[in-house]
Amino acid sequence: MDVQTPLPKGQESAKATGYISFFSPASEGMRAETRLISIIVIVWAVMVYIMPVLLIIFAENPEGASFLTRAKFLGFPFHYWYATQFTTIGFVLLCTIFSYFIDKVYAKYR
Amino acid sequence: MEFTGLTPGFKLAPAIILFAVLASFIVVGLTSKVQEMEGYWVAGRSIGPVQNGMAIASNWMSAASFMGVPGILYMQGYFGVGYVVGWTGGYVLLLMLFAGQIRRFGKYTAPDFVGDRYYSNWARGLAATITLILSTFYITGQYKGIGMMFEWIFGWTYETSVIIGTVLVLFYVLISGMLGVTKNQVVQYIILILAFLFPLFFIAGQMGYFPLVPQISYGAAAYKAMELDPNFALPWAVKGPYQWIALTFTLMVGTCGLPHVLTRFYTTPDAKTARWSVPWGLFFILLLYWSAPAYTAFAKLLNPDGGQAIADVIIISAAELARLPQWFIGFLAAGAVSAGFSTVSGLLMAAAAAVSHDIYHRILKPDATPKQQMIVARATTVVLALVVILIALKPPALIAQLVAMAFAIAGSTFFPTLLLGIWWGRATKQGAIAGMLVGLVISLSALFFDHVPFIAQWVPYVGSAFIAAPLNLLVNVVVSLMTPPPPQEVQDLLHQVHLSS
Repeated sequence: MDVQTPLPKGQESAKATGYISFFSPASEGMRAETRLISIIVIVWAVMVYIMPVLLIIFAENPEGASFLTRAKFLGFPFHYWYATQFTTIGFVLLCTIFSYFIDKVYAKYR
Repeated sequence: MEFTGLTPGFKLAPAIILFAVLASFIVVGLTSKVQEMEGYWVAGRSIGPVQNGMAIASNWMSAASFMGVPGILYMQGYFGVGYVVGWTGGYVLLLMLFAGQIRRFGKYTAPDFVGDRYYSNWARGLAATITLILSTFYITGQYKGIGMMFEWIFGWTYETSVIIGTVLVLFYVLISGMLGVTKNQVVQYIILILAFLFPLFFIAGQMGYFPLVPQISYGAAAYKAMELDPNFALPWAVKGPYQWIALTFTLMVGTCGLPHVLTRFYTTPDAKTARWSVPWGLFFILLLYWSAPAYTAFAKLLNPDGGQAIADVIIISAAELARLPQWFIGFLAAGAVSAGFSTVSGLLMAAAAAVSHDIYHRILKPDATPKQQMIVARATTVVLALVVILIALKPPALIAQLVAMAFAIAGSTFFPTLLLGIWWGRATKQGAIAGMLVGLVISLSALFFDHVPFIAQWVPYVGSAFIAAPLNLLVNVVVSLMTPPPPQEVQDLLHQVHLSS
């Protein structure tokens, strides 16, 4: 997102021309929005898929047993707790964080 | 250990509770209708993020969440956990990429949005057809759940239960429609979640786990179950990592294209409320999704070898084996049935609207009178109900799998089309139609050629959007660049939807 050159000052307020595009935002406000979305999409993807990747890397047998499955957390097998509870509550947090920051973006630019 | 079935025969208390719950929905719906008409002129009564969040959760909770998730966790262990992750994580994408924009665009069903954004009745018709197809799978899963619960409550055979259940759903839709019942989804949510949670406290207590927070205390039960049977929790014991990744991706992108999800943003007063109702909604959904695996872990210890036949009613089995009183289990069964009822009625209406409004009125007969449209809508409801009975009589899969098929179709077709429609102004009608067709063909082929090992491995029918969605996106982009750009009106509309000035 950061590699794009910002639009000249005058052009921002003018009725925007050209096609809407996620990768070349039409205004400062949209640029702030797409940057926020990009960050949260990355956190979301890492949060969901880091555990399967670790489980593949450390698997000791075809069933995928490893220290991650033997470790106990709150009594759970750790990997089971991570997927059923940590990622799901993480989704709620990500939604809350996004809503909080996007409110600021809209307050500033609209 | 041997197979333990459910208690057979007619059960009076659960039957009474079931009718009481369904009747209360209609009564509450009528009262809130009166309030709404009075409040309408007094003050601009509007629904806040917490209430709309409960409505989102109540819409979302169907027989698939109530019965399907515990069932798939019981049968497929950690692969089943993919359903828990997939059916919650999609809301993050929905919130960031669609919620605010859809609210400002002002079109809340996929056919309506696609028809306007892609300035084409062909695109609208295709989207309506896809809505009809995926609703069929979604409803089939619900009917299977309703049928199995009726079997337990009334002691009929499964076939009789499905047919009577269907007739009752049609009556319920008809009565609600004629009385003009507005769905009070806040009340529905509270009844459903209590019906799901309360028995769990007692099951945990009976089994010697801390009863007040079974969502945490079942951890030790899950660990024990994993030691007894690796299939219960070891990561790749049932299916491999690729399949887990494809499944979660598919369910998450599929969330954004379902007919009953986007509509919830219509009732909020502004885009900000629409956005804040998503974290609330997801929180309310989580109360159920944190508890479903607890049912399964307890059930696995009580009834380790139940198998496919009992998987979808494993919550009832767990409650019976933990010796809960029958009337108390009746609440659980009534909750499951009413969750199925409300989802079916919503989907039947969405499918009927897709045919009568988007296909019949907008494409086939633009001068159709409202009465003719009503006839088409009613005929669609009845025909669809009959088709679904035929499939549900010999259910080809578990409830969660049937509903996942709907998500796979939605994710393969609608997700890329909506994504490009909102975030890339250059996407054309030809691109959208070509992309949706590719997605539809792949997701349906995955379903019909499931017996081919290569397809079952790489394009599993519950995970087909992992391949189909990126391909749909690519086809849309390539075809769009080869065809003339969309008209200026669409560009102007998109500039209004985004923060572009």
